Amino acid sequence: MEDKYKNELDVVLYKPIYETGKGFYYTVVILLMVLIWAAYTFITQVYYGLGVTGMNQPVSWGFYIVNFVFFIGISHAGTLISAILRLSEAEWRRPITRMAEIITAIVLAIGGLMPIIDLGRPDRVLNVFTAGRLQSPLLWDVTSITAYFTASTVYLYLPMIPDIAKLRDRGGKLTWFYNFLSWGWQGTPKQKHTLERAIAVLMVMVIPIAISVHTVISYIFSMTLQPGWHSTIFGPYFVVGAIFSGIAALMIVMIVFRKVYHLENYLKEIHFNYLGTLLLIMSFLWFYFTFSEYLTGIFGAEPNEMKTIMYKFTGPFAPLFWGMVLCNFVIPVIILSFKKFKKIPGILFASITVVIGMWLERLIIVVPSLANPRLEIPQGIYVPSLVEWSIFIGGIAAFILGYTIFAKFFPLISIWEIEEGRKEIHQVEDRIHSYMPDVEVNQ
Amino acid sequence: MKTYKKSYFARPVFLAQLVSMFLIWLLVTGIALWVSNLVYLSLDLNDAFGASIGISIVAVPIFFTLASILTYVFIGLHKEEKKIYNSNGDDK
Repeated sequence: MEDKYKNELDVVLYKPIYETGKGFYYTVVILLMVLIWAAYTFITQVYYGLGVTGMNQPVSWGFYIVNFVFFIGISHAGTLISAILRLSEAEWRRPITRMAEIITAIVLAIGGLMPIIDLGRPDRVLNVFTAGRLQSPLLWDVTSITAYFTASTVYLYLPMIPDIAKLRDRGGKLTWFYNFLSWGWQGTPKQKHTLERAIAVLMVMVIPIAISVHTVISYIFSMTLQPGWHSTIFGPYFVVGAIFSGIAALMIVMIVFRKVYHLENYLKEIHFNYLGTLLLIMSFLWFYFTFSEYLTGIFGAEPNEMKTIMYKFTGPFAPLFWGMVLCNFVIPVIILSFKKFKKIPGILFASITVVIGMWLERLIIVVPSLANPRLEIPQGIYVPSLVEWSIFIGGIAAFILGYTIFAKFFPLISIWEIEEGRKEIHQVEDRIHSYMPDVEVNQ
Repeated sequence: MKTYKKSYFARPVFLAQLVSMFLIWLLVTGIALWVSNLVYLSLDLNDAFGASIGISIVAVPIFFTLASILTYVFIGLHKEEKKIYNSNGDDK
């Protein structure tokens, strides 16, 4: 029954669902082992308290908050990029959107856990329900991330319904599961209209939600009168950084799964070329914001602000700061500006450096401001412990595992959208004609 | 003309789908109640009541809109499916 898919045009997209290679099991086992280790270290932390971490006085926020901001930033890969591409009817979006949306849903779940891990006493998160204070930016975070997670999960799920119905119709052991998720989809014009209408509303909704989420995350820093944090441009700065790291993460995922699942026919050089250009633009934007942020601080030369800035420029965080500039600006700009380097291996390298650079940026924002207190306390330093490293690596493993398992049950590329794209080639041609002066449009 | 056949476990699956829709609305209502409780708390403590109201006015409708979109799709798809089965005389 399940072999039916072999006669399909998009056989490659069904293959990972119906055929499970050894590689899948090896990957799952290795990732599960990493996760079990991370869970063990977390239990150690709950048992012994936050003393097992590198956090101290005055540096009371470390890897967990860094990872929280970083993972939520990566989540902008999906919903935001996908919604913008759908809204602008960019035809090249079709093989990309779902891959991007999956990143959002998984990464948001991981990122959302980080502040709970940071609590030391995770059970105290329940106090949010009984004694939360809505005027606290931390509560704004809880609300906006919950809204974003709900919206992006719905936005991932709805465009999947036609593909789930395809899997249902192919039969097999999981028919009941696909039947449950397909919501009676039969592909009639009326059903299509209903679904498209809902997706259109969601598209418009998720863009402001996504932007507001990272703006609100920046508020947990910028709403405090802390040198290096109290900045009016932190909202857009965080949003730009989030989109920047999101695009980079998306390209890494695309390149890896393209290779593993042989998706070369769907994810072509042109897709990486377009996304690479977008990454280059974001790199310049990121540099502009970083430059503005530090220039105003240096020009004002307020002593406490300067102490934090010098901690980053020439102090203990200098290698990390200049490493960030190298990873987020110098390397991607060199690679993505020249056609010679702007090939898939080059783009992969640039994307990896951007992801590392953006993680460094989050670290550089969080730690130095806390390490330089204005009270008569000696300057602090933060060295993450094995527990923190393990939980960080566990978070990355959870992401890869989540993505791999998703790919086992659902197509990574939207099959119905690809089919629709094939059918709509003439409509696209007409649309292009409609943009042009003095060209007749076929009705 | 394409004919559609309902599988033998169509009813339990539909019931499970209804339960999932109910859970979605339960979640959304729970969030609304939670936010209302926080607004009440701010009033009780006389601490930034206006700001709390402002935030809840933005947050709560988002969840209700999302649940409404899901319900709209759920009802829309099932209505059409039922129509197809009825027209095929295969709904018994």
